[in-house]
Amino acid sequence: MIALRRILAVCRYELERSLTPQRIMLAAVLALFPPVMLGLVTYYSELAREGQIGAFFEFVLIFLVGIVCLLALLLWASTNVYSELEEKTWIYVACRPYGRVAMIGGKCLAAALSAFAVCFTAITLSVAIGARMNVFEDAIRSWLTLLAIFGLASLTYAAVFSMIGALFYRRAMVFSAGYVVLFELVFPNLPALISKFTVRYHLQELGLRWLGWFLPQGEQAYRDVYPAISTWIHWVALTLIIGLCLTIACVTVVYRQFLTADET
Amino acid sequence: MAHPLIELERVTKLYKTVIGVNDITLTLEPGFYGLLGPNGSGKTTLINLIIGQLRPTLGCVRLFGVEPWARDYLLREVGLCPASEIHLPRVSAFTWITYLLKLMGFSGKESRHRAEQALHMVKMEQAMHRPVQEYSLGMRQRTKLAQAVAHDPQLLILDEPFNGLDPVGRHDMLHMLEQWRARGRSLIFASHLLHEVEAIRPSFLLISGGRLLASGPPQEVRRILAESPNVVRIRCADARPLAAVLVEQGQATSIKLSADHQCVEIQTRMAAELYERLPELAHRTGTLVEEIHSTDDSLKDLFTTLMRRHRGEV
Repeated sequence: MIALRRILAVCRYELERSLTPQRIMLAAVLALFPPVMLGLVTYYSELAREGQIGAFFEFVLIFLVGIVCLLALLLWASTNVYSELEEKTWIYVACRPYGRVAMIGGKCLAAALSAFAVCFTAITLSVAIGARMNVFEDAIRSWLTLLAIFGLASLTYAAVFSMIGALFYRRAMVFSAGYVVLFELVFPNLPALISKFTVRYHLQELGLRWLGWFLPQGEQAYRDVYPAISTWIHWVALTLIIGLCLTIACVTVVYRQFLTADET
Repeated sequence: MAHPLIELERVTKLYKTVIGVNDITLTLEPGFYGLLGPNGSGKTTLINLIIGQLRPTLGCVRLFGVEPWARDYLLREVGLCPASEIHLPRVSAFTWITYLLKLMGFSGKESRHRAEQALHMVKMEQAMHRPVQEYSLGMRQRTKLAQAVAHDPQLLILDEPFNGLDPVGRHDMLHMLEQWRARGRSLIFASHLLHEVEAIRPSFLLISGGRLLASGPPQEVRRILAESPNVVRIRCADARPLAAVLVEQGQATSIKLSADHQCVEIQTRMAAELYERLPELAHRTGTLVEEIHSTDDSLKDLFTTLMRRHRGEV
């Protein structure tokens, strides 16, 4: 109970102090990017005129919100340790009982909530645009499903970037960007076993089940490479990824000696 | 059986090839301790070893009888005021200390109450809701002190706490530390300035080059200081006769006389001998001594002598 209180204390503190004009502006730009792009694309698209916009719209929506979600977490989760060292506040947290673990948990939660807030805005506006263009059969259901997927994505990627931030704190952004390129862009597109060990694979599978196929002609080709497996395996896999990443991050910060320039 | 407050057994800390702390063995019972050493002598490294932020390369550290490395639950009873400057944009002292208290495990209400009390104790109640980035250096120092005492620890560790404090601030802090002593709590006060440490009347730990060179009560340090090469400045109406006799008696290795002849700066190998003979020499030359001052540079000489003694060269 006290551990949870500590994590929530860090989370609340981080959220409070993140409410700056610059950060709100950045969050607004990120949140508006998908609906603006979708609005422009669908307005000028031939598909809209041919009445085939539905699958295309969902595909682009997920792609754009996914980019925004990753970008937000890359900025806010991967700097968890470095920002404390830079502001020279690390020692104040580290000399509190279980302070390091609470910091990892609290900052991960704060980053996930911030990213989800951005995704929530982006999805809501995008679905509103789609609903206006009669893209969705059931707009409310699609909206809730997308929120669930991106809620899960925010939490999972926050844990992954928290781990990267703890392991490679000096070059956290570089390593996080490297992770995105390799594990979110390259590996998931390889028709090989390694693609099944990525977060994107599990989120994609859940999305396909909950939303239905948005590119129907691709289903058979996809299933040839990735046979369908039970939904609960994806849940377990994502839960394990979150747990494993946070455990690695916590063990790293507890057992690493963080040197400051002020050793005398 | 009650454990000592802190135990160090042959503790060495290496930063790759650089020695931070070198073979220190030490046992501290609860009390007031002044950790004195020049800049870069290993004070902060020693503190970080004691609170388990660093792991000794060799040897063993125990805090309250337990090895502190990776056991941060021990820090419930430790308050640390580090030397490093804090950068807290957009956060007030009250918010920050409340947050740190919540991290200690206190409830929200209790944290706010304690934060207010601690900030009141360091006389920051007027400014506690302003952002820390607007504070002066002295105000930030008070804020750092407040977060260290807010959870009422048994052991308070202050690393260069007088940095940036004005005389009033220093007086207030000394007063607070006196109250801390009266409550039977322990203190480690690290500084590179002798007079700062002396003000709290602690037992001394003299550290230089990562080595513990000497330890003991203030009298012991004074004795060591007196037996070390020292620069003594004497002010009087006319210092020339005194300067002449000091040279004649071989008391000085070098002498500097000020342009107005009212001040003589004597470099001596053994200050204690000079202090012993000074009344007689002043009487003989008819000099009325107005002021004797041992410069703070003497601390450098003290550490040089202690280091040479440590190496067996003296």
